[in-house]
Amino acid sequence: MPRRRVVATLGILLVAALAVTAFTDAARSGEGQAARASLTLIAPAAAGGGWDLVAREGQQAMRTGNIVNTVQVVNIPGAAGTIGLNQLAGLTGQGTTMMVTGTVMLGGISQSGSAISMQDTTPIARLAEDFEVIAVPAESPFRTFDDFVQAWAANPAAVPIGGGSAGGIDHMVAAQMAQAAGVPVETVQYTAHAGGGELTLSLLSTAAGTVGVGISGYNDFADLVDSGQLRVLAVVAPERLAGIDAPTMTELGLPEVDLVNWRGLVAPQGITDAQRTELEQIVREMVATESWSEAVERNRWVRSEIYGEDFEEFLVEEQGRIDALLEELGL
Amino acid sequence: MEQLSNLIGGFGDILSPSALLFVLIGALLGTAVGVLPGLGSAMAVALLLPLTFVLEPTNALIMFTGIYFGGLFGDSISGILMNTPGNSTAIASAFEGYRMAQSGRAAQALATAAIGAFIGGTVASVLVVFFAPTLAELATGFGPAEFFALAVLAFIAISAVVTDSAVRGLAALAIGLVLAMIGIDQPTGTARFSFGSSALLDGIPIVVITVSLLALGEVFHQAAKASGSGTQDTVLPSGRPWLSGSEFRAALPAWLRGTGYGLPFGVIPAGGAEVPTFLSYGTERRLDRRRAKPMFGRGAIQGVAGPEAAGNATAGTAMGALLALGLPTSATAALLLAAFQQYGLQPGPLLLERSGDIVWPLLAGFFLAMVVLLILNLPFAPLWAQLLRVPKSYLYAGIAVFASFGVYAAGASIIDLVIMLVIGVLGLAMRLYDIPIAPVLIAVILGPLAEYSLRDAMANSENDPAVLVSSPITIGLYVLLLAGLGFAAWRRVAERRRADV
Amino acid sequence: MMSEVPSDRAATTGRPRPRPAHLSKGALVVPAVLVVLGIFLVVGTATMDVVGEGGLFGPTVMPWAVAAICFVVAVFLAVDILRPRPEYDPAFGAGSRAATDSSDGSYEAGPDTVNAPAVGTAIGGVVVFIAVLPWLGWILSATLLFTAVAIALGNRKFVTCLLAGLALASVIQIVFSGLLGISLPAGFVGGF
Repeated sequence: MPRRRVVATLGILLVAALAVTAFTDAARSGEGQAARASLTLIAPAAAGGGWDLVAREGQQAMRTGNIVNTVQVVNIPGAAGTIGLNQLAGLTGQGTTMMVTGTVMLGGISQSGSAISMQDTTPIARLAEDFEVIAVPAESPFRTFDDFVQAWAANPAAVPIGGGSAGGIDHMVAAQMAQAAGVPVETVQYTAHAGGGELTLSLLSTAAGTVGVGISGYNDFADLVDSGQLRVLAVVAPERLAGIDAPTMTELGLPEVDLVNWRGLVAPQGITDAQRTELEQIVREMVATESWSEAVERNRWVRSEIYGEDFEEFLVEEQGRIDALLEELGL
Repeated sequence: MEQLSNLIGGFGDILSPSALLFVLIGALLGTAVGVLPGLGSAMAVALLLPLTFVLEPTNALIMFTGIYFGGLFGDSISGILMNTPGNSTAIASAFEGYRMAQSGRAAQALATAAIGAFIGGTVASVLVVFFAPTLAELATGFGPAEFFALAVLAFIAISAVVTDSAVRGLAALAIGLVLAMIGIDQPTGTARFSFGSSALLDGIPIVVITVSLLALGEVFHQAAKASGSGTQDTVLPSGRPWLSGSEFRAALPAWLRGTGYGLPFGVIPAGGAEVPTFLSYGTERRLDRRRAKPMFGRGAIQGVAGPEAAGNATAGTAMGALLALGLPTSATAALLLAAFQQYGLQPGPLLLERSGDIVWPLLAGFFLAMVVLLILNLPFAPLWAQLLRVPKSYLYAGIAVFASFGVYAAGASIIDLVIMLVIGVLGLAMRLYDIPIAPVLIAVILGPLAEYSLRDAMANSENDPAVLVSSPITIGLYVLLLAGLGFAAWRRVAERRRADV
Repeated sequence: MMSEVPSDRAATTGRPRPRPAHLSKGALVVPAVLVVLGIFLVVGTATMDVVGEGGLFGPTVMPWAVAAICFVVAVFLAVDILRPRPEYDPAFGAGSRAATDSSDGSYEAGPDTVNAPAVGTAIGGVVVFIAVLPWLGWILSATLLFTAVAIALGNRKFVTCLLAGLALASVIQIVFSGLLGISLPAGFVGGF
């Protein structure tokens, strides 16, 4: 049956062609290449999360700036990023991978008592930070931060405070405020929300059992503040933020409330100095692109670039602070 | 009717050949990613976001709506054909849809799903255009007590109808509750049942549970039933390609009821689109029992029509909530928010005032995307159905490969694959010994919602149980629940009497 | 897939039939799973390292409740499975041990028979897939998985199976890794 044979031959040829293409792709995506050719950014959060955004903005900046040929983002969600950290720690010596990290991951490391820490990575750079704000709905009885602190100190259980995940940056800021304001940290009634959207809605909701005070990054609240539905009582930042008429914690006499939400990039441990320098250079070029500047502005980040050794020292110091804080919180 | 003229203006901006091309490309890409289990619409948007960056705003946004809604149309296709829903919102329509496909009505099931998605999405878009601010108001009436009432209502309403044997249904429900409790406890951050494994800290993703139980469990079950004679049998002929008049008439009320369920849920940031799809499934099944010839369990067209319309109606109003309040209530919405901001759009109460010139074309794009997807999906339904002509052994081998791919791609984790295997074997055991699978998925979705909202409600009100019944919404929901239970009891007594005579 | 439990009423007429699978002794696997899950919850909750105070309903309340549900349902389900069913068991031996055993014997030959070698092949295919994925990479591992499942379902054209699996795995690699940038394990191929 010649016709069957023809069909069979064509089929095998087709499969062979597919397989060759696929293997080429696999070989290309595999390790063992220069970071300039193919770079992997690990976002230790699900698609749509804050770290995912950093990774994807970075990917975009590297692409449009022709800094790296192919950049792929891999999402490894879970447990405040520590699952991604565990995977990164296993990629020893791979100079073609970087992972997004930030304040929340240090909290996650401290909280899970994980054996793997930032010591098991090669710090590359801190990129940007954004600032936490304390907001209340427009009809809230708290006109000023002092109104809130008075009511809070009188009966902490009656003033539920909302924010992101338990042990996350919002929770830690709540703990710092409690310490500074003389409220016993263990009496703080903190309600964790799945995201900024849920928190905002909980603030706006008139239903019973929702929170009356919210802590989150300014970006989550910005538009509702502009429209007058939310009021910012205070910002956790060294200086006042453009466009918000609210005092800083230092102005309020609570300078010890100072946690900022920074994001950075780390590479696996055990990479060569040359690889480390190359990654650092890639990041320097990335943050210089117009695409990155737009991303910073759009997401209301504030640039806070530090590299290499400086970043490493910063990480050690920050981890120590956060460990102490979380211990206080009983987390 | 200022909105109407604005909307027409929006259509004027986008009805060009290039815009049509972009919406078409978006729809095709979105459908392709949506079809795959594990890659939900959030992943579709994340993956395809960079594509839109290089385009000019209107074309990019319009391509984007194509991707977004394409993912929603696509996720039921794999559910119906292979019992492997692309996303958790397509679980409910997969139950009856897969049975329809197994009885030679795959094309009709796909057409029903496509039309349902179209109706749900379109009605929701109309609501968004005219009432977005009002919808946003609705959301502010909800708090944890309301969510708890909703979860309890959904539990009872759905569980009562998805199984005939109470003890078997409860067994499945218990399994689901256990699976849902693994991982970090949201209110306190306590690690529950992870036994020191960091991979379990974040719990077992719903998509892993869904794909394992439905797809892999089915593959194993097919192996268990394999005759071993080596025949190359196909599942069945794909049958007649179009919906008949009577099928259309049967599906129409289900589409509308499903849409009704879906609309309010988009603005409520809890439970997602799964709750209304299951509620719709439960309602259709209950209604079906009163018919002279019940079809549920054998491929009831209403069982596809209702949930599919509900799912898309939810997605539509969720988009409305995002635009009107700027609240990203899901991962997909958060990504959309990022995309909007890319073009200087800041969703929120001031959106329409500030950037009407870009929002109206976007809203018009919803309708355009919906129409394009319907046109794409109806003729493709019989084509997709041809997939079932593939010999069974190859079809299920393909399902196993796709399921593994989806589970791996969602988390890049080998542990997820091991969990998939274990739950897949559990799925086989449940199939062999007639334990229903739907309650497992219901418990996985509603269990955490019920638990966390109850705890939040109590903790935030100084443990005053009165908070649970303190609002008209909660009282209304519980009254509905009691009325439903009373009615069911009355019917059971009445039926028994009839049977005795 | 949800399956309907056949109505008992319908079965009362006609001669006794063998017990269906879901009422056989094998079905006791399900209550056993529930008991195991219950023990899992009890152990996990008792050893839980509770963070903070957690309020009135801490993180342990729901686990205790669900553990209780698991045990209670397991007992009821076991009773439901084992209880005598005159419609299935021979009428004279209703409820006796012997009758149950004989119905078990006839069930072996019934339509519910499980093709154990096929199930083993399919499950084994997934196990091997997971084990070799990091080393062989996606393309070859998925090809093996495809072939194993196809063979389990009765296909005996080994070469065609391998080729079809290779084609599918390659298409997935090209589309999702090549075009969309999802990372799939490259395995040893990546070393080049």
